[in-house]
Amino acid sequence: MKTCEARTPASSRLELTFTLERGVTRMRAPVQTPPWRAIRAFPNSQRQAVVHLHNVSGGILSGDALDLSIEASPGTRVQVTSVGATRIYRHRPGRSAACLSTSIRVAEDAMLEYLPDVIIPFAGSCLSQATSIALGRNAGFVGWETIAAGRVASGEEFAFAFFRSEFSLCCDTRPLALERYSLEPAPRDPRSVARWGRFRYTAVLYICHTGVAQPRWLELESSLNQLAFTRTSDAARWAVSTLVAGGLVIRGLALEAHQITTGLHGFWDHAKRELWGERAIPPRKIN
Amino acid sequence: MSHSFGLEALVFDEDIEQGSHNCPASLFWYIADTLSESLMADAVFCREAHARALQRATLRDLNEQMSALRMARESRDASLMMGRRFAALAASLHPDPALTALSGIEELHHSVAFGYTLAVLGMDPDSTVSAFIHQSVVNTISAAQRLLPLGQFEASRIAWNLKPAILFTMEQSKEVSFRKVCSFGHLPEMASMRHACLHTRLFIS
Repeated sequence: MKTCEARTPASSRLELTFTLERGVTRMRAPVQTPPWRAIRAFPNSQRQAVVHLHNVSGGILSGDALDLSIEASPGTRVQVTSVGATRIYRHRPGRSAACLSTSIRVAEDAMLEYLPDVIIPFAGSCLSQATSIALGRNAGFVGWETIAAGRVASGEEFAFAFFRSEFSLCCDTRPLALERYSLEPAPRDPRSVARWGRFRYTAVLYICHTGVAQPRWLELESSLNQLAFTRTSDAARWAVSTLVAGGLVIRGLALEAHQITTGLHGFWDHAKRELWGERAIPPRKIN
Repeated sequence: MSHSFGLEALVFDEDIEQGSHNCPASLFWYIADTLSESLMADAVFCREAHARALQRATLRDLNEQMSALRMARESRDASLMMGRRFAALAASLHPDPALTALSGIEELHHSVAFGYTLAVLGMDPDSTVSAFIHQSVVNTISAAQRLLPLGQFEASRIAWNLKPAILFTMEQSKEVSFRKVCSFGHLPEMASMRHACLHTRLFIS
């Protein structure tokens, strides 16, 4: 089965660039091919340009190669979200695996929040995703990802064929966080204690600011870990750690989706108040 | 105090079974699955460091990648502490310019230090990687003996029964680059992150 590396050029690409014009962050979409759509950006009360990513096909099909590029120019403030869950549909024989490639660049003094909805890999689906985030000097980044075990409400868990992911978060040439994994439930049970355990949802939240020194991150790790302990129960578990530099990572595992959503918003809000002196503004959903 | 790399928190959270009847099997499967995840990544980095020693090549990118892959601070710091100590000990026992230089590296992970040192000492790469994985597995079992009702007989049985899996991981480590090796271990990684907040701790990590 083909993976992202083996494919010919992407069949769909969306490029979003954000620039600062007279103190206002403006969005342009120089490349926009279906099924990706980004209609417009609108400002929120924190002068962020808020944009919703649409996938007009309703999900990711086998053979799809979706390429997303986001560039936040110096000084811009951006919030990117999706309009709903990303559904990965069952793989069709003879087609290559679905590929999702995301590249985000946050320039000097810019701040970007990337807050997509949950990814739901359907039974028999195959996905290879690659995400790279490059941060400039004094740049801020908040980003999360939530993955469901499948269509949990239908009783479908870990029925996908494979879910491969490569993630890199770098500042200059230094990697701050790397994650590469290949989940293949048939040969390697995700429910192992060495992997997901008994949970149905996994989430990760990165809070980064390349202008903040490590001692400040250690303080924030401590306060967020206290929050993590209070939010941990039999049904949800949270943990926080500083990265090697420039940020911290928050992980969550839960039995129910709402526990992940509530938890992520709580950590995001706490960290944003501490680092930027602002509350977190949950992205308004449009349909 | 020594390192459990999150096992102590996994036991605290009862992810590893605590009953004397069930804990040996629970621990066995935890370690067996870890051999195809985080220990596989360590094995690949150990092998790459071995090759770099023979080429007299830099280790900087290897150590930077390992620091970025180990997202749990306690686990990352433990790996760095053990790497620096291992390199310092090797340099003191076996005077060699390459080992002296190795011991001067500030950001040096255990798997990297181990692979590099054993290459300098003339050990072949397969034996080096096998030894590293075996040591990691035995350390985990030893930590478990202090956390669980696990006797010496059962501990030895687990180590013995894991030997085929250790050799399989060693073989698999030949097939993948350190830039591509995959590892998924959200639950143990979170355990390592949560460890710092446990009220009572027997281990540093």
